[in-house]
Amino acid sequence: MLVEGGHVFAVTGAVLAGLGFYSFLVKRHPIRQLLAANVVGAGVFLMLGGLGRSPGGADPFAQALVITGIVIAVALSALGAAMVVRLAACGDKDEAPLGEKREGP
Amino acid sequence: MSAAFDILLCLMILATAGIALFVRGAFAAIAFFIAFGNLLGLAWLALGAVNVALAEIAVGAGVTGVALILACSRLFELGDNLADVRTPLASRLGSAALCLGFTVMLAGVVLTIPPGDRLSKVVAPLLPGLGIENPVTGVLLAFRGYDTLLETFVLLGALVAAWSLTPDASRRLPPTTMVMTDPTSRIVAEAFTRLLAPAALIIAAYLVWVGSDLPGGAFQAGAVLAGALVVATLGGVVVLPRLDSLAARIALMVGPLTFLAIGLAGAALGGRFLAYPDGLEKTLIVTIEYALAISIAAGLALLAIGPPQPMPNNARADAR
Amino acid sequence: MSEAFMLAAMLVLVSMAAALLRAWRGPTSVDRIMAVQLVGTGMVGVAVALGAARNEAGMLDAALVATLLAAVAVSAFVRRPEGAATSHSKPNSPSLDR
Repeated sequence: MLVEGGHVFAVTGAVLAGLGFYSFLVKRHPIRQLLAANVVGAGVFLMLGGLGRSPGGADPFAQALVITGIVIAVALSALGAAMVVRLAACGDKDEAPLGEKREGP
Repeated sequence: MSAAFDILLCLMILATAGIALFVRGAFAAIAFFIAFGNLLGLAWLALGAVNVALAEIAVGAGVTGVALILACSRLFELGDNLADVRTPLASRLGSAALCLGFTVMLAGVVLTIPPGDRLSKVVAPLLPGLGIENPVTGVLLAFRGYDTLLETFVLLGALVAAWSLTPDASRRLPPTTMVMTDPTSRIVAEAFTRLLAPAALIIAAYLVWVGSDLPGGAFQAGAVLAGALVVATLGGVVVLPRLDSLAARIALMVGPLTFLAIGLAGAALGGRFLAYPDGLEKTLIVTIEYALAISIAAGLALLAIGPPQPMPNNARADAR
Repeated sequence: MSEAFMLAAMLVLVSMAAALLRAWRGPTSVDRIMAVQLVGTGMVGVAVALGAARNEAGMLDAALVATLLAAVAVSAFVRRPEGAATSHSKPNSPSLDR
């Protein structure tokens, strides 16, 4: 039951979301947080895909939703990367390097 | 055998994600993130969702990896050593407890839902009316047309937002800085472009065409073209457009505007917004998809490359 | 026959795990990116084997797309950062090594 039905992938997705959130909380560098946000997104997609699995194929609505989600996620990552680079370019005048800012003396 | 394959694949996905998230070096994290994307593509194949696998593979290989690697090297150049700061033990423990609880709850909820393909039965009887056989394309362009239309505008909005981060100094300059700086690498990239670009063009056109009946579609095709465009830019074959270039703006807008125009025409002809007239469904869907593929390719490539960077002082003198 | 193809897919998957081990050990970023390339190659192999096992032609398209775009990320990696040609980084040693 667990294996045939796609629950393996759905549970993997749940664990990925948890790992991603933990990394998002623990890692301070914005690039690492961007990766973490992406992993959470991938986990959510896998849950959708796993639960939409049947012996005959995959749920077309779930597939369409995930394709839309993938494109939005890539737009988010690219915009996030551009913002991190811009932040680093502005911030080095009077601040500590990124990732050490919130650390206090 | 299939079950063993699924379990092995999922374990590898979890291991790769874990390393990508927690390894010390930022570059190693990005390398593992790219491998994670590859494995996810395989997971979608294993799930039978070939449409999604195509999108994941094309976007992961051609766009996300490029954007992250470029961001990493730009940050390094700006003097950010991408160092990892340790968070205090107490907050790490707290976060771990919180996330563990969250994961257990989420997994528990997921296990209560029996997997199944309930909406195929809803979609399948509607497809003959559209004249297409790929249910995912049907959902994306006919039954959930609103979402897809808005999604193309989200992509456009993300690009505008990224461009608005351009420093004033480099706004008027053509962003030529993407060409390989090393002459040998540039020759290799140029020769590679001449091999890759025609093949990518054919495969993109094929993916859109085949997308009405088999796995494929505008997003997958756009992502393939975007990957080819990135390599072409690195080889200097394609010069990046200035931010005020009319040609670039037309390429970016043609897809969303075609979609919008056909949607409005549907409303004007007596149907509802985004309703296709009888008999013309397939023609209109394929037209929209080709236009969308062009815009998505341009948008993803420009997003992957990022906004024009402030040039180093010595290079700025040459550009003027 | 389908079982044989699934077995082949699993063997390729195991070899991908070996490539991931190299990506983890490093030590330089060139080793890592080449190992990631090897994972990408393995992905093409698994996609083809899965497509044969399930008799689904669409999976071959996925393998085709993966082959086509495999080298794009490496190209971005090879390109040295803006201004690196004239500044501190030595030739043949990408500045991301760490």
